[in-house]
Amino acid sequence: MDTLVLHVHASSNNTILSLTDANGRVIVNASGGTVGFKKAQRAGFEPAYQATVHIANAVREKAIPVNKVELRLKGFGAGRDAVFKAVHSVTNWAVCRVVDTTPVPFNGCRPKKARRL
Amino acid sequence: MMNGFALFRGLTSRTPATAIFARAMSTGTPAGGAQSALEVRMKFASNLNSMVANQGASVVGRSVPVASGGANRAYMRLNRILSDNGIRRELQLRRRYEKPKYKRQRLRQESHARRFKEEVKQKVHLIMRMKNWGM
Repeated sequence: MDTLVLHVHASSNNTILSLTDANGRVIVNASGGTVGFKKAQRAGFEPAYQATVHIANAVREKAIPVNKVELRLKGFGAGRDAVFKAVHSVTNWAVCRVVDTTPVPFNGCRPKKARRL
Repeated sequence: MMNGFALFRGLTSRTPATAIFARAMSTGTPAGGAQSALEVRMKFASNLNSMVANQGASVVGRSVPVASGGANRAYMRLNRILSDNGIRRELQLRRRYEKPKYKRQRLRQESHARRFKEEVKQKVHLIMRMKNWGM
């Protein structure tokens, strides 16, 4: 496959990264937890940055040819910006497309009730 | 030049977009090779489709191809798209259920605030123009 896709799930509690091929088959996984942070510390700039470094190292070790990378961002956590900056400072990947895949319902499921009632 | 549709809608051909639309939607005179309304609509839709910038992507909306400006520009453009469309705000609202009463109240407040700010903006513009005229 030509284009690899880096899925970034940036929630308010953690950042999960998945490098997959264009079809969605996973090559490498990394998250705030896999790089050694625990519980609440997984949310933040640093774990997301280190997770990207982890993925970059794994790709280099496995000698996977990286031509183009599509960045798919999901959620608005702290890891969102962190991963983008890390991809530019740590790796030399050519980002071909930046996509936002945050799921927005067209009035789907009813959310939980409001707090403080 | 103005067809029935344009006349009905009160569209003039002064604005380019409406002129294009009116021309595209016209079914043509019987003498000049009439197309059925459905054919015209299908052709218009396919023309619009070809103008979509994100042809090769699996996600069409909220997707920005990286051009000569670099990935930073693309990322900024994506953030601009998100903020212009209020995606973040919408997700905040959807996090917890908002009862119909509070939703109606909020919409009324927003509408009022929007109208008020518009009025203020117009007054300020007028004052600036009067200042330029030397009043």
